[in-house]
Amino acid sequence: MKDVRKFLRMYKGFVISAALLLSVFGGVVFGILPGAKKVLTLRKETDALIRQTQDLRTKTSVLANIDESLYKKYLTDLVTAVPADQSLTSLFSTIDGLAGQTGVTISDVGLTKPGVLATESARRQSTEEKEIGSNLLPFSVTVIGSYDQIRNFLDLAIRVRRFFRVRGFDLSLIDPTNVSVRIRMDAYYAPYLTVIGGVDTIIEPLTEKDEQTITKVASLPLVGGQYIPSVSTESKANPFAP
Amino acid sequence: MINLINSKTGFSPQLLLIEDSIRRASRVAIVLFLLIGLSLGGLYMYFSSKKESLERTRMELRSEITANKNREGLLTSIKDRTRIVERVSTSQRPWVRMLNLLGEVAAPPVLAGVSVNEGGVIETTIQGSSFDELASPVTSLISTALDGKIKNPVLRSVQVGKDGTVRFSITFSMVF
Repeated sequence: MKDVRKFLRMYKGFVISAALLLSVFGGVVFGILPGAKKVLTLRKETDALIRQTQDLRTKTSVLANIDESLYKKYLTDLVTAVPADQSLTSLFSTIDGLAGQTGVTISDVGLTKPGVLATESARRQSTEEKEIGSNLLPFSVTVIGSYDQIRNFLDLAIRVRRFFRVRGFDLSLIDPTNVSVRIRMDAYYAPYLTVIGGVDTIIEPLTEKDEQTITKVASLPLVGGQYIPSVSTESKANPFAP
Repeated sequence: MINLINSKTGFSPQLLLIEDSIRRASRVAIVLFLLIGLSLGGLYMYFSSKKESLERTRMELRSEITANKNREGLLTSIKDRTRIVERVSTSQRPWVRMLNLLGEVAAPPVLAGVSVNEGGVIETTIQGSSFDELASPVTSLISTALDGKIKNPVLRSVQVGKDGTVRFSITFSMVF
């Protein structure tokens, strides 16, 4: 004990300085380093929050700039071209309208695929349908008229606001002035989206190209009566929710 | 009484120098420690309050977005259907161009029949009272192929009826 006291008295300066250095070292290890780590974590979290907030702000601004009545019209125009369901009413009325406008006579119309009226849950999309992103409703129509009338019918069939495509056809001469054509066609339809992204999902506003497409669709004529589909804008975050 | 014990330790000058250096180092270390500690404390306070404020803003924005869910559904549906419409448009084939072309080559009654199969191959039948009558449509079809408007023209069959009617069956593909 006497030796310790003597040592402490002798090396007082050393001991105090060493004790201070040791305390600082301890402070660095147990205080500064964990504190710095915490600050870095906070900074990362803040940066992530800044990005998220910016995205949310952009999304809010996109949503705020939406003119609901205009957008409903846009969606109605698009859904008239590619309905949400098979919409046989619009299919037949459009074919009828096409015949009326071009002067051909329809002798037969029929759905070509067995089970084509099956519900959506009962059918699987083909590879082609997956590529197009739309379901196909194949049907055939037999029309009679002059060559020019048939030509006009085929021309107009893909230029009306109910999208069809001609898969193939068989044209035969009935007499020197009239021809009969059996046309194999597809009508397009695509169900509405049932799920939209979460609150944090980034959304893009309509681009110029989107608007051009919508304008182009809206400019196509509606034939066979004004068929206006009902537009659903209610989306569920959970499609299985009641 | 006279204190004969020397109050000063009898350190060598080197040891004194070392002691002095350690003392200075400890002072510098303390100052640095305090400075860094205070700075970290300041930064912690700053980032904590910023995070809190950002979280508040985020919550407000999220509730605003939730309130506008209908608009988001509308926009998402339009975007989705626009893409579908674009893809659908590219899958449509303007067969009227083929009929226009055939109309120039051989109009009815010379043009007796046209078939387009699932693969897009066109089979056309032209008929006439003699080979000479069909020479012109065939020549026109060949020149159309040379122009690159159609491809792979093949004469599939030639039939001569009892009444002398000649029928050519020609297949080709359209270049859209």
